[in-house]
Amino acid sequence: MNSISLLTKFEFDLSGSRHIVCAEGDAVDLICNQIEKLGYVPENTNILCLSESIVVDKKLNIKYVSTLENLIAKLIENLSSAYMGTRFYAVGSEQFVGDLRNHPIRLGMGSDEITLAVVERKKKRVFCSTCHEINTQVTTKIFNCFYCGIKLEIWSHFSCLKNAYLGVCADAEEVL
Amino acid sequence: MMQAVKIIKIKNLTPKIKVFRLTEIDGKKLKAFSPGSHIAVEIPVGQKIHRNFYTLCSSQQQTEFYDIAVLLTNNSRGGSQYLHRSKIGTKLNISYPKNSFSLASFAQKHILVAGGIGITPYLSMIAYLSKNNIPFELHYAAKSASECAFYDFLKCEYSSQVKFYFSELEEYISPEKVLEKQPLGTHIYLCIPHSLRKDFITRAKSIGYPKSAIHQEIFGAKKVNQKRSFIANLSKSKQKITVAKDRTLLEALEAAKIPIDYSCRIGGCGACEVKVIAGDIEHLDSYYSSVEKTQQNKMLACISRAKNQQIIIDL
Repeated sequence: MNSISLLTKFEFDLSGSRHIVCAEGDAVDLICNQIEKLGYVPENTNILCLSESIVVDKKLNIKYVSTLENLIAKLIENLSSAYMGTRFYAVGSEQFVGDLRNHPIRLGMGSDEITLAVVERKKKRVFCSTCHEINTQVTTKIFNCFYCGIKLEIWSHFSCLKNAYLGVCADAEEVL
Repeated sequence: MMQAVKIIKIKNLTPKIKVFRLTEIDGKKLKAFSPGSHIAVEIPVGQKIHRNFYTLCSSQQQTEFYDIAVLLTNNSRGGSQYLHRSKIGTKLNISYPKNSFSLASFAQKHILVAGGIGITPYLSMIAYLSKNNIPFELHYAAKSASECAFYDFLKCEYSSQVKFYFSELEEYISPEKVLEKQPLGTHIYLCIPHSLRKDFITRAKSIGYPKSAIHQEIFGAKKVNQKRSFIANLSKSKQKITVAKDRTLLEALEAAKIPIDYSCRIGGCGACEVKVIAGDIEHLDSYYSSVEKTQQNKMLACISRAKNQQIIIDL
């Protein structure tokens, strides 16, 4: 399958009665813009933002968390006590969204309760088909695997389970 | 695809509900099925063969026999009366099982709501859920314990998961109490009369249950005002069929010996869909989406009608 499409706009799913939002850094702006457009904060909205400093200085109840591990821990805590009617949102880079998506799914949330908003995919996670390691922060279409050194070409095939693109040997057919 | 069976056991569950045990005529195993499945039973009514649909209420873990529970109704097409008069040894033709009301495989918890004969799809479901340690609740409304099919069995085997509501004791299911504060991944299944089903769906939506978490088995069509007759013009065969006010288009086509497929006969499955070339449709089904209904180019013959006097269909 292909990865998630790039976001054009963020919207709250107002059919939900509770909203758990996870944003990466500046992407929290998108949420704030939507709240301004609505004119109110949807009831029971809980916003977690991955950032080492405060991103937006507005009177919104945003909890800032400095590491991804801590954010995931807080997310799991929130989801474990959540009830039906909850909606989950992840807004940020492709890697960030991919790191979070499996947590609500594991707890039984369906695709119509989850909004995944990818705002950029400049850096990719790539699964090496030779050594099976996952390369992170890859910015070029062809690169050398950080683990085994094989030249890899990034294909469009994306694994939701591994949260990574498939990288295959780029020069496998070259005559030695 | 059909299976030839015979009745080997009949048990009265309530004054109006009997359960029939069916085995394959030659003693072979019957076809496997998933929880919530139903079969079509061929019923001879006069010169015709009708097909009535009954949910399999035996466990899917064995296929030596099927159990079906049949409610005797006065306004049926004769199917329940035929079965209630049947004896042990009666032979029947039945279809392979089909499932249009299955358990959601990703759900973490299942809430099953039954009214009267609506209990039948849940018997096989709770056997499966119980065997696999999957959490569930069963909320079962009936007039009284004596009119509650499978009451003794459920009370004995599933006492911690089943709650009964008897209207004679003024006990009623509260959608709010059942639906609120349920954990993520809870799915609800509704096999209840129309008005209670509407209350449940309204409450579930207001709490924020997504559509995918609400499952319904249609157990009786909506009551509609069928006062107007209409004419169906068949574009291919050039016939004009009059559909009387107390008949459906499906019945009128069958009476005119025009071949048309069908299954549930209550607007829930889509088997009797006909293409509509011209004329406004009054959709009375629970099958099409609202977008499909506005397209006005197809209808379910078993339940929907023409809004005006005539309609042209592609038959």
